[in-house]
Amino acid sequence: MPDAQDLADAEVVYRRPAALTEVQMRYCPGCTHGTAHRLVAEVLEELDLIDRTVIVVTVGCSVYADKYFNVDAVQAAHGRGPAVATGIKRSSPESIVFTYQGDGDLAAIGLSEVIHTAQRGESITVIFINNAVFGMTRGQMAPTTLVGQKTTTTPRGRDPQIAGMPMMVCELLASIAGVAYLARETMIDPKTVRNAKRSIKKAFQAQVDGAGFSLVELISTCPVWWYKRPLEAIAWIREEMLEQYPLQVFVEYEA
Amino acid sequence: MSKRVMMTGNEAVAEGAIAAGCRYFFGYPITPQNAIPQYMAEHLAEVGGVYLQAESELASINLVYGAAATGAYVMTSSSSPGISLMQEGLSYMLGSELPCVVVNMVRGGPGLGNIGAAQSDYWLATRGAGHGDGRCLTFAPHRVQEMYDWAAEAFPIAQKYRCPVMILGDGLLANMAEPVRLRERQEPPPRDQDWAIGGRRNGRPRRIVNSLWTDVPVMEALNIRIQERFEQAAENETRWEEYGNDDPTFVFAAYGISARICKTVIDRLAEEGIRARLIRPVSLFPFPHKPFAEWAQRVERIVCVELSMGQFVEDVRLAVAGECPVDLIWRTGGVVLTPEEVMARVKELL
Amino acid sequence: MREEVFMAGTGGQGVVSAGSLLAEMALEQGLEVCYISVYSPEVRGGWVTSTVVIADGEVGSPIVGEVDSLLLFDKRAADEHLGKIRSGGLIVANSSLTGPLTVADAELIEVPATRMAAELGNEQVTNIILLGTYVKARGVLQLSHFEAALKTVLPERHHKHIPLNIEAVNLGAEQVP
Repeated sequence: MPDAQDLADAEVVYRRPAALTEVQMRYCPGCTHGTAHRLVAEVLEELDLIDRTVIVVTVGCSVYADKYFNVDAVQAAHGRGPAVATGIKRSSPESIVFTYQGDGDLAAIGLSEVIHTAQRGESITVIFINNAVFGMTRGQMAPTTLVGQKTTTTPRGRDPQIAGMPMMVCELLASIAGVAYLARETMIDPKTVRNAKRSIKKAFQAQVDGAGFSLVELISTCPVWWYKRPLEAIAWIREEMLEQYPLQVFVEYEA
Repeated sequence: MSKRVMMTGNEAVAEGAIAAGCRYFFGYPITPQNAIPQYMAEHLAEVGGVYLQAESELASINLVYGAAATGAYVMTSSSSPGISLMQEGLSYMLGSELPCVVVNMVRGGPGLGNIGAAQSDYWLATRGAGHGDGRCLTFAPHRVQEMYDWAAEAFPIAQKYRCPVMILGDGLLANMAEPVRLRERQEPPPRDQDWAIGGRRNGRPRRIVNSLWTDVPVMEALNIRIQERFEQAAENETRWEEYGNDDPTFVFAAYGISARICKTVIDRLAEEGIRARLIRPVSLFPFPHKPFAEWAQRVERIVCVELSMGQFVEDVRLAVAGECPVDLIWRTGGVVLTPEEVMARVKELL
Repeated sequence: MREEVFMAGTGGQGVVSAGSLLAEMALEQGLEVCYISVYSPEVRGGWVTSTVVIADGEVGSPIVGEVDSLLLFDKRAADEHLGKIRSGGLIVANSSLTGPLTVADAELIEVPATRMAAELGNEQVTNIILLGTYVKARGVLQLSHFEAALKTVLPERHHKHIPLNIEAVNLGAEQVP
């Protein structure tokens, strides 16, 4: 055991980011929400944005994110996060505003809001968690559910004849002129985590620079509703999810 | 005193909002209120404000929600079908205790209906604000000058009671022009509310605007707080006007455009020696129960006149509480009553 | 005093601007007034009506059934709205387009306004001629307020047409028997 003097002399190499509160997160074991939260929090601290940031919390498993991020927070109705964020940004342009949305919130009920917010080139940032399933409501099909994937509303697997093909959000947004930064990342090993953080940082930097709309899609796990153990979920991302959703930086802007 | 200028109800409510310090307007086109967003698009820029055309009324009210959370005076406007779409956002604003001003220039319904003048959103306006246990405070001007005046009054009231305030008009009040006496445009008030978000500048504790309370007693307490504000509003903001004979045999009950019709009918009945009076609620929620309860003791009947099939009359009957008969004269679906029709129908009742 | 005026015609005939001018004249004269134009959904060539209610106190109903004065701009308007006139009221008809009318219980002044406007050099002042006839015959408003009202209603770039309009309104007034 190190004594007090050892601790005082020790170099801090890892600690809770200042942009996170002390509240214990309530995500399931093996879920990557916690990693995504931490990456966003590190970026907010490193860019010195904590005191001007507002998170727009949306509906899904991250509905309690206002408890975890140590910044001003506004809770939005399901899918309406980008509209709420726009209202904040337009009336308080010096604020840094980001939404944190799952695939149900963003790609199903809120697709119109995110597209039009991007189209207007709103200077806000969207963190988009794609885990191919509705988590909080207990495992229903999302627009991003993979073909053949079993959910509580696709008990025989997603059938494209019935439910169509998975929604490719980044590909959809990539053609929109108002987008300044757009990337798809994941968080399944140190390298992808580092890449994800780099993209999140660029997305927030785009907002700081007033360059336009920025979005980072994070391919995420949901071990519970994928009916897998945490490590199996990581493997399933590598083998299945990334086949459907290849990692890519779609749009970068000139600073 | 400034010169009076001719303005439509749409223009007046928009200019009234700007004059009150409103600098943010989010809306989506729908007839018969398109002149409101058009006026805002033209004139907000003159005062450094923001006009943004949303992709839907769903987006409009959520843009309003975001701006309201920063403590700004913010407004949207629409007509009936668009107000239906805004119900979700209004409920969230109530739950998050956020103020805003919403103008509804009511048109004929249900469904897509038509662009005629109607009052068939009475229930939506006085019971609405989506799901849950709350409502909007709702005010119903009946002249263009009042449209202007209420746009200005609505913002401080919304801030005081921390809830959406609805200004209820109709297709006629929206598009008819009357003289309006304008005031100087005011600067917006400082956003010094202790709940306004925008970043925890100067190290203040962070603030959360939220309507999610899974701890049920906390949610109940929020509802009680909202209800207590409504009770205060009932005490301070209940408004009505009375018009006509001081010793009437019967009393008209009407608001908005219908009240205008009743005033002409009262004048014409007076020429025939028939004594009638009007109670015109200006605040629809809170509803002015008192004048109805009082006159119900002294008159033969109360005749409710509305451009809907018996919505407003329910509140009148609640206020009258069985003390005298309450009759109803209505047209609906965008059809308007003429003074002649009201005259004829009221004579059948007497 | 309550004066209800109803005008009807076809889009492009100046029914809207005639209503607007009448309302401004009432305002100039210190009266209360309510004015509304209604038109059919088609953007060009549909029907148009203007209702102007003038009062020396509060204007009650902006909605009218029978009216005190009726300005009919063409035959369609006459066919549709002739019956609106109150007993003892005033009808001013643009006889160039309405053709001859028969009225039982109201004063009828037939003015070939479209032809007269053409003779003045601009058919667009047809509405102003009819307005002049109405104002003079009814006596509720004073012609002296016309120029001020015109300056408010007419966009600055059209102010060069003010003399023509004044000529037209006076010509209309002269048609009162």
